[in-house]
Amino acid sequence: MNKKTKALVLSVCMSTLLLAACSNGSGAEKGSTTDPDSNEAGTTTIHTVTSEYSSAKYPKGDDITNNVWIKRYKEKFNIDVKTDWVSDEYDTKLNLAIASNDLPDVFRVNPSQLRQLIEADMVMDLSEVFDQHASDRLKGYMEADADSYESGKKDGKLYGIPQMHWGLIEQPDFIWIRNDWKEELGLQDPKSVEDIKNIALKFMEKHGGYGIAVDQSLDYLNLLAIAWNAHPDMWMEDNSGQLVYGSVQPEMKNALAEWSEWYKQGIIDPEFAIKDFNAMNADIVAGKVGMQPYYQWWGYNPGVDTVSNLGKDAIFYPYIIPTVDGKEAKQSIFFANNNYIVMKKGFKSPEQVIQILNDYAYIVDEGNGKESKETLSALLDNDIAHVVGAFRVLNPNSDYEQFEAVSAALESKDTSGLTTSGMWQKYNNSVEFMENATSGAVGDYLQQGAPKNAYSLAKKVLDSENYTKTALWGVTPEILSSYGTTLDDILTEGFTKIIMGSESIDYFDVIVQNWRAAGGDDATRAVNEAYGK
Amino acid sequence: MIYDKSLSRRVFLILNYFILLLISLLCILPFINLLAVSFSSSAAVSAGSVTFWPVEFTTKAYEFALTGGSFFSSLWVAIQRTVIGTLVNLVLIVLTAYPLSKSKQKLMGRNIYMGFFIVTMLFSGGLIPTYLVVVKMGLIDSIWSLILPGALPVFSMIILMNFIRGLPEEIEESAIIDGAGPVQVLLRILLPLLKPALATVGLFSIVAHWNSWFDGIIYMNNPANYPLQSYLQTLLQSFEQIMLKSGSDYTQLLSMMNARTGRAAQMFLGAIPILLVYPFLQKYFTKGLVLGSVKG
Repeated sequence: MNKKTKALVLSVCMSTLLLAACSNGSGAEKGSTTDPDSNEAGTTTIHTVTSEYSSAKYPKGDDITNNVWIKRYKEKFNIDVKTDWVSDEYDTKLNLAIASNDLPDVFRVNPSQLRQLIEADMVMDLSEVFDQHASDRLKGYMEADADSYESGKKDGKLYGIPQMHWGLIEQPDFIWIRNDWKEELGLQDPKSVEDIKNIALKFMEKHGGYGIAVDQSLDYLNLLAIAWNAHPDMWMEDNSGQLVYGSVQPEMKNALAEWSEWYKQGIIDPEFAIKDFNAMNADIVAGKVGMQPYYQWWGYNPGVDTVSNLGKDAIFYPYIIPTVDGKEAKQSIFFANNNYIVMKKGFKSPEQVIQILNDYAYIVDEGNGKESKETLSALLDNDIAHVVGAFRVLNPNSDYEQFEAVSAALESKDTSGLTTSGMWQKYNNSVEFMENATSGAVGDYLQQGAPKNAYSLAKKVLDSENYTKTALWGVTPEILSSYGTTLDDILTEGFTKIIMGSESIDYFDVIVQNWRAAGGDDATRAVNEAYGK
Repeated sequence: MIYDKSLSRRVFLILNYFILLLISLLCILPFINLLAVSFSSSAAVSAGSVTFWPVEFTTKAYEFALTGGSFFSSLWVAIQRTVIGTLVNLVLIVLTAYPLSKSKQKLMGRNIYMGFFIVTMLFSGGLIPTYLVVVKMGLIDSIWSLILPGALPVFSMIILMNFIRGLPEEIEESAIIDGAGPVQVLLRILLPLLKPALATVGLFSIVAHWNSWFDGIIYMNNPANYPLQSYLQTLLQSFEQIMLKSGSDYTQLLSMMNARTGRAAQMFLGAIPILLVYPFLQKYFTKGLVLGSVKG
């Protein structure tokens, strides 16, 4: 008895100890980094964190924490940039750092982390320091994509500087058609949905198999929906000015009706419902199918493997997706900025960071001619331009400008317009493919260098403003992300049933009802509220 | 024996061998396929034409993994971690399993102690609290962060505990009569008898330490301290990044390998050491695991 009581007391003590240890641990304290912000030599020390960028090739001895950029900050501005950690699980590690309140001075965050940090009052208001210290060029980037700039603000104050993106020219999507088959049959470029269907049928007649390669996620088939003026996955204004979700609009019903016809005729891969991305591409690479709705990067994957497997004549070319009545379809443009630069509350020298951002923009956009060739090459070539982590803002027009320069150079054989390493690379690879049909170069060739290339069509779309932008331009409302993929799963599953003919087209209305009941209505309300509609 | 020659016996044997063969093929063939994929060119793999023999033989995927720079230092970290980690595991397992194998009369509050252990097996603190503990203990960037959080695998401990209980108590009693104390009993009498059980739980630890990659990435701030699996994981992710990024100058590499051949090579590199250890431990498995009931 006595012994039993002792044991009980002992174990109660143990559990108390354990609990005490727990509560101690979760009480967030100041991190262990004790470096002062500046030391005797007037050097500013800035702590940051980054993810590995392994496609960069460093000179011997350099790495992501010690490279030509870091040395440049030190020499030019007397700023010591210290990288506290490097990780490919960047988001997870950053979430841990946020939870343990062990933030670096400057770092990049995604939209939901930005929202969290602003709400927890852990990052500083950068409005003033940005206005005063940002160069005209940097401000120009913000003007070029004002929507992204606005998305970094809350209540009119700038908390996150958007890192921007390579440009909207990446976004338009195409129907890719195998060229040797098309020429062999003497087919015209598709001018309407009817033409696409006919090309598919002709291909099937001649080469067997099925007509159009798509996968179970419907992501690729959905690219064709714009032909019926439907914009799946996109939030847009309806006639009454309310924001609605594109996938559940009546236009989508027309697309699905046609697709179920296609499925019956064997145009759509009869096995699409069990094919993932790799299985879908395997049929392209093996030469079983000649058409695929796809993004602008078809040439990188599956293009490279297709060409090395079937030869350079088996190349696919992109065509603008036409509408049912023979016009060019309105493309969907989505929000492209995924990263923001933020600074820890209480950080002493935010203006120094802006200075570095200015310098990056200067090197990339203006450096040519002002800096020596060696300096530029060391800073930009071999993907070294991408190792700077949070210390850069991209020019949202860079891909557009790059394409203009590369296509002009290819046409005139005058390479003086090629001012960045990226331009040279695209140019060289395009030439490489034309001369030697090197399969690894087919990506750049089809994106920019081919007689029919993706970017020339995309440029046309952008220049004629033949696109609709999503209304959800910025941070996704919390309620929407809290539904996770449930809402999308309802749609994908229902659409698949309709396409495969196990449900009639009227089932669409049931799907929409289910979607609304499962949270679609809440999400719509939240999105409308967030955008003041 | 007549019984052995009867028709039904022979049919049974043939069927038995056939089914066993089928099952072993099911285990081996995916592995052979993996090996073939890892040595095939990207295009052949993408076209789905690789089965059990490499198509367009290339070693690019292995070159990519091996020349990435820190392959060998990561390998060293992984070996250190596995060796030290397994030793720590085994020592703690033995030290806890022996007393807990005693009856309630001999060890006061035994069930309460057991309760403590079982709770940790069923509920974990979650990612963030665990991380905070590791940070506050100052283990970040140290190999101990990979070893100490899982220093006592409770499941293995229970297995060993049951194994000790299965031993005849008389052995221990006779040792005590001859004047041995608990420590001597443990070292001289029990440990030699425990070898098969230790080999089994030891293999569990080896495999677990060798295969885990997530803790390496979370607890190591400097990639130079990554164990092998964390390094391979990072490598693969970055390759997928290269594949999708327009304008990389990896044209040569792209035509020879892709993420799938890379993944296959990675799995193979990761599996080799375990395959090497396994044959040496296998002889102990015949006596191996006892969990709750008698085994021949």
